Amino acid sequence: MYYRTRAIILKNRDFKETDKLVTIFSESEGKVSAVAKGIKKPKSSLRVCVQPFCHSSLFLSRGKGLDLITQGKIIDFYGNTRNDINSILHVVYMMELLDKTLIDRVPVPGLYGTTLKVLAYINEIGFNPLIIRYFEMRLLTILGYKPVLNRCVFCGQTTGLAGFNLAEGGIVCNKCSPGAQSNFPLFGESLALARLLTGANLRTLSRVTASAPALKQLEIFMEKFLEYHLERRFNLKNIMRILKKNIII
Amino acid sequence: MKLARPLENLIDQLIKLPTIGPKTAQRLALYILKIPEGEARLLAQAIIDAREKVFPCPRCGYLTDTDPCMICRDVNREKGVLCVAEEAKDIIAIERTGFRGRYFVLNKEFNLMEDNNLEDFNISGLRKMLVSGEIKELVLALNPDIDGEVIARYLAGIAAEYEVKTTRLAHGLPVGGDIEYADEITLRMAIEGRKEI
Ligand SMILES: [Zn+2]
Ligand SMILES: [Zn+2]
Repeated sequence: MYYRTRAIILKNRDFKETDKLVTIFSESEGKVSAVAKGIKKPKSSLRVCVQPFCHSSLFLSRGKGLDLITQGKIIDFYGNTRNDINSILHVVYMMELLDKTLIDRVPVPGLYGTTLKVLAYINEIGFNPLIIRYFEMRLLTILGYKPVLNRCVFCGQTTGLAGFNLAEGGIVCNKCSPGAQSNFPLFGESLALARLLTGANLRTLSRVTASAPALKQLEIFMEKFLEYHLERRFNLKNIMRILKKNIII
Repeated sequence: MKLARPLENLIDQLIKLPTIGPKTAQRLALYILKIPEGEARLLAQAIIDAREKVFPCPRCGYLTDTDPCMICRDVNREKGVLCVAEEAKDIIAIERTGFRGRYFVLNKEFNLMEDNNLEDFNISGLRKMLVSGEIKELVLALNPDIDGEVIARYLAGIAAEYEVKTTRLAHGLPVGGDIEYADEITLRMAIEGRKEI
């Protein structure tokens, strides 16, 4: 049985001599692993369509085991993104997030659309850390982990806040959470940014100017929150840390 | 169809080799049965010898039967140019071009998305070469994909610690290919890497 779908390429790896096993985020099918045959040969026209973070239109055949990608056409390969190592690493990090959270054959159209928007934004306007945080927040929200950020998750109080409780998935106040050491310190500018992420759209976010320490704090917060709920660690985060240590990016 | 046990065994072994399918394996096995016994022994012995005597050069990682390897011992090689490649098979290809520098092979596959870590690369040998002060240029011959790009940045950062210049192989169109049939990414890179004539 054949089917055609638009898809974002999440990753690929060697599979037999000239084949690759490609993991795609398909618009109509969700996450699918499929084999692309012969793509290490120089003449393969499929090769370029299955590079990570390409947006491609694919023609697949459904077999007993793995699906087979038989034809492909690039919709966008995000060429500007590929010229900037910082953008590459962050976009591959997005692919890793998707790969590690999506469930096989469960389409998530909202997330598909968000991913395309963020990919286009980074390609056209450039890398912006707040846009990556936006993607993380959208992902968590769509997966059902939207954090409560505007009031205490227990009593609803909006003042005397004591930080963010990862297990409760929200802000807590001093009265409800006396042992404040266990809370993540999300206050002031970084808390305001986090609130913005849950509501604003990309265009609004691109006009926001934020201080470097607040952005850093927000990044650590999102990482902790993602790790807590997804029970995964993210390799790209680690790789970015190593490269930053070498003052390369 | 039932095959003689030893013949079936030979086919089972051949089929494990890359690019060899069941039909090819059977053809090869039947061919081996037809050649003179001496030649069959030579083939078997060659496999055993290669396995027992060839190892990665402790200095550069290239495949060798001497320590250090032929390339590391060659005094006529340009000492200042060090080419880094992912695998020994890449060095074999680069050698055919007449490149006369020296090499360092990473001997490790790297895939960003497979939880590989940059710090898993054993680059103490590379650091040893860089610290000697002989190297003037590090030439990165890495695959033109995202993984290659990331390894390149990592190694360039390490070279910079020793104030060694890093270069990368150009991306471009295959010789004899048609521009019309080039994929967009290759063509774009070729445009960016254009040269004055
Ligand atoms: Zn409370
Ligand atoms: Zn050597």
